Amino acid sequence: MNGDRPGRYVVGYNGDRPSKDAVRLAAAMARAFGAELEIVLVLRADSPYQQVYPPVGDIAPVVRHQARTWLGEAQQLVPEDVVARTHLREDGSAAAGLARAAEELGAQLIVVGAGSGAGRFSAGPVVDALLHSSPVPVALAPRRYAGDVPLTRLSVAVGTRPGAHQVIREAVRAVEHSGLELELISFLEGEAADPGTAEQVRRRVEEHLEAAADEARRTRPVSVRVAAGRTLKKAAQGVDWAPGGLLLIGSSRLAQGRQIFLGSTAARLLKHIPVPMVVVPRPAPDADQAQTEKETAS
Amino acid sequence: MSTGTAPLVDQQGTRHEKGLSKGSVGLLGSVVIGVSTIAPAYTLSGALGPTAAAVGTHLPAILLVGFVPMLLVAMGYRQLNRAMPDSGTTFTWVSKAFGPWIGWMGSWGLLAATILVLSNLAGIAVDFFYLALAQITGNDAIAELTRNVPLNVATCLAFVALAAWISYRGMEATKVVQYVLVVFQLLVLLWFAAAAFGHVGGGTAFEGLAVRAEWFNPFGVESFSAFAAGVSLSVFIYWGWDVVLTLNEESKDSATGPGRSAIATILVIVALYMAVSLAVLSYSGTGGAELGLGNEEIQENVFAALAGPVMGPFAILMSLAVLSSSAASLQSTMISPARTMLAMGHYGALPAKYARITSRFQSPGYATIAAAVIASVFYAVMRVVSENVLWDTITTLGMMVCFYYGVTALACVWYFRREAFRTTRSFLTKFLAPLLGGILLLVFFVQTSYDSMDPEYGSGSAIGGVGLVFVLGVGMLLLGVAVMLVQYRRNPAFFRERFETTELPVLD
Repeated sequence: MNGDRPGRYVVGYNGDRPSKDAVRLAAAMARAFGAELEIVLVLRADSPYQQVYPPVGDIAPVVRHQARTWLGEAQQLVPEDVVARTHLREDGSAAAGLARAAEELGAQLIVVGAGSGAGRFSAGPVVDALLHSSPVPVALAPRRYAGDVPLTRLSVAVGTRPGAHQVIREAVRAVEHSGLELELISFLEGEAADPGTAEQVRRRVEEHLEAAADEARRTRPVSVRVAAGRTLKKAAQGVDWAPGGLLLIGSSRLAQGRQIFLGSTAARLLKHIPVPMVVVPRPAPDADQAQTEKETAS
Repeated sequence: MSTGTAPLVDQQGTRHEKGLSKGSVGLLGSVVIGVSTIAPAYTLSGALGPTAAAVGTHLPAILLVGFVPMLLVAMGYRQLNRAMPDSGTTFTWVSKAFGPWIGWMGSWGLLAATILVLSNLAGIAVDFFYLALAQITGNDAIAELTRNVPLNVATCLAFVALAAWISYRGMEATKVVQYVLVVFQLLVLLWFAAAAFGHVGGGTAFEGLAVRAEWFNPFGVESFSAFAAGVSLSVFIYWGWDVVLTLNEESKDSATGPGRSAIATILVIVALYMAVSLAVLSYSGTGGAELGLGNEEIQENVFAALAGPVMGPFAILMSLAVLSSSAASLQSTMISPARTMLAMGHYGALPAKYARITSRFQSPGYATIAAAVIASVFYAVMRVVSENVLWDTITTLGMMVCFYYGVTALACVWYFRREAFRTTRSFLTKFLAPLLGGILLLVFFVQTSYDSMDPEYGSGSAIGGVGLVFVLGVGMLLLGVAVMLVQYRRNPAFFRERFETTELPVLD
């Protein structure tokens, strides 16, 4: 998530409570990983095909004025030691505007509030659209995220199927220049016929995790953890999430190119995890293939 | 609004970029937008009857003549829009030209007109809703449900609430939807006209008049009162087409576009209105019996009465055309009063809560709900008070449009008074055209107001021996004066602003 020059995070802001959560999360991440913030407010551009009847004139200047006030408030939420700039953009939709802003500003991450629905992470339409289309990782701030505890631990969700290397590599790169501890975590749901089988399954997953961790351990200590439960909810709740925790999760194998496509497990996890979550898009197919070949060769 | 692609940085250091260019409308698109904005199926259904009641067989003449002041004023509007593109409202323009008091009243006129059209449109939609249900089920009794006042009011409130919800959430109709709606409306209206002429030719029409040259003679209208009433109604019928002029500024090929698409839109609209009005006139005549345009029973919603006899089993198409056009318009009509209140709230002409913008939907939330509530209450009260609510609101609406258009046109003349005499072109577009248009509209407004004091005026509803249209129209303006004085007491800052000499308070 960061290279040699300071990274840039685009923060989606629209003045409501979830977007304030997003600013707080972005600030915490910027501190942990050494990045700068680009707070972006996307105004929906009116389609010329939607004329009002009768015509009464343009209120866009008034809306822009309000938007600037909101951006000023966002700026106030950012602690002084974090660099933040504000941007007002117009686009067809908020999600498209944020994705475009991330591309134009060369940002490595988009941070958004998880929405105002029922669950802690119920993804609103904007978040939903972003998770299906963003070219860069998307960080989701849970509802009422206080941001008063520094980030201390990065957990990486690793599935049992192959394909986790990409996410782990991303995580290793991310924590390289930060003091965060790294942890690999697998979620196991379902009930086994007898305790013996359950233990067996658990052992196998743990071995898989250890093997994955070994590669990362070349540079730093990595802990592993298996979260098991009758349901995914139970499994997620059984984990003692550190207050400064952050969960990194890969996107579904269905995702195209470098776009995020939230898998069904990840989508359900969203609802039960109390810490912020970063969803990483799949690498471009050719890059992915090149990597795999390299891995097979070595 | 900047048209350049370079990002702008304002005082607070916020960078402003435009990700999407607005100007992607060609000639055909402009015409579609222009036609959709005037909602021909709805306006014709609501206004043909009252206009024919005022001017009789001279309906086509009035529709042609009524376009002239509209065109003259629109030329001035376009100049104002160019000079102050980011504050393109009656409110800011008039405030800048004539000061805050007149600016406030002009804006109140616009606000009243938008509330009126909102409730009228919803009322028309209710009629056609039950008519369409009756046509679909084959049970004529359902169409009569619209005459049940409590049911009618309840349905109307449901429609308004739905429209308010949609505009609160900032949902928009897409390009494809607009194309389909417009094409469908045009086809059905032309079908209706052709079928009506078919009946006239085949001798099966209700009245079966041959088209006569005298119908096109505006001087044949019996009195100036009738003429003024007809013109203010036709101003309502054409209301809205002028968006094409401002749209052109953003059009794809602005070198050839501006004039061409406006002219194309005008031709389409006028041709359509001529075809339909001539067809209705030939088919029905102006007599007072059954399907005659003089029959008060059918005047407030002519297509509801005529579509069946004219189009036979295909009358359901007309119901769908009017229903879809009013449904689409209902939502865009909801936005107008909300935006007007938002602008007024923003500049301190109304309490600040009207300027609230929802962060999630970027829509004027408080103003939208306020507009919905006011329009609903207005409709409910009128439905009980008036014998013919749609007719009376349409007539009042015509008056209101004349008032605020007239005031805005004169604001244009005054605003450009120094530069208007530099070239012949600017003399015509910035001075002569808006001056003539504005004076004409204000004359029609005064004449219609005066005539409407007669309790027999319009549909014949009266309160205390004074015509309901007068009570509504003048009462609304007086209410405006009262609200203005209250607002002056609460927040005099706006009224002390010297808009004439300073820049507008907040714009980028």
